[in-house]
Amino acid sequence: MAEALAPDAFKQAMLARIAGKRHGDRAIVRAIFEGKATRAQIGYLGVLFYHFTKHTPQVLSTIHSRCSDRKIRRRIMDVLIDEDTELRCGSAGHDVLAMDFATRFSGLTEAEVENHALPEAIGKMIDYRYKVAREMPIAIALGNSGIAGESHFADACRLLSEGLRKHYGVKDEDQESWIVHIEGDEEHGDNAFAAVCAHATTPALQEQMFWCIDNYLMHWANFWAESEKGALAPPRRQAAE
Amino acid sequence: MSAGSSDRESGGGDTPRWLKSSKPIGPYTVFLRPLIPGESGPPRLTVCVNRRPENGISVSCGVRGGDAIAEALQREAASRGLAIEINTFRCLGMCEKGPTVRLAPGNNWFFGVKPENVAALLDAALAHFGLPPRG
Repeated sequence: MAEALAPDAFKQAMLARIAGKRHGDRAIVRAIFEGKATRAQIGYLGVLFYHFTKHTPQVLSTIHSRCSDRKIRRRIMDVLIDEDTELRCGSAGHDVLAMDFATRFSGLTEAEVENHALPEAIGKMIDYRYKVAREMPIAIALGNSGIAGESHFADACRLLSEGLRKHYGVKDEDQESWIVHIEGDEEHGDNAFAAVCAHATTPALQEQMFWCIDNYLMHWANFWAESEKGALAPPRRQAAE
Repeated sequence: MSAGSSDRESGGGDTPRWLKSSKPIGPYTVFLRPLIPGESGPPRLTVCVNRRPENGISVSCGVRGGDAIAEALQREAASRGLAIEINTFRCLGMCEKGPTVRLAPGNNWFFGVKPENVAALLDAALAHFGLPPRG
């Protein structure tokens, strides 16, 4: 890329990369929405989502620790508080909410969820998140999660939540982990695009953003595909019988 | 439309100006959107009642009147003979805009609700699903 794209063109180029790869497009999300997923698939999704979610505060704090702009640090801190505490968003830290869903749906204990075998793809996804947080420019690292990960997550959560309620009898209070991510406006995603467009103004930065979008979407595709396998370990007490 | 950008549009002076609304119908902010394909089911309202410590730092819908809103909604629905489902919920995740009420199915929200607004809220919710205002 010889010249940097203008902000509007850059945003459109990012959106084009996401098109067709949104979380809500994934087969397992649609299957849950339509009541076609098995309980093992959903339980396994819960386990994998917990293991994804529990790293988010450390990924965020890694970016925070590298950021020299106090205004951006403050925004990261707000998100960190959302994710890791009950003070701003959700009645508990998001890992706690994810664990709550995983245990309730799968019947596993917290220890069983915590120690559940993870596929290689999820390990690679987690490694990728830390790598981006450690090595990428701050705006790109934030864009990686804000644009590639979160800007279309709310729609998927809405589909999951409705499907869980309608087809699997999951009460709302038992799935706060998903409901808390359903957003009431587009502000969150818009903010991420605006921040990246404002900071990624060189061809090199824009290329890095594209690289991150492509790679994070690939990891997310693997995440959803792994969930589809439904490789949920039976509860230990059941396995012993 | 960038509603909520003036007091007149938002129907009152107490709606934060930074909030945008697709359909401002009262002194609170409303986002009502079409259902996505496959989304169906009877409408239900979920009121956030999460309570956080009143420490001047954290905000929460429960402290701002979530329980009273839920009760007012239930009373209003009963007085109209409506069978609409009304639930309470720990935290809907949008605390700074609360008290928050979610209308499902769909991605529909009411922010900054007060107990005195519930009749208009119920009207809007039923109208959004093409239902009559009374049972």
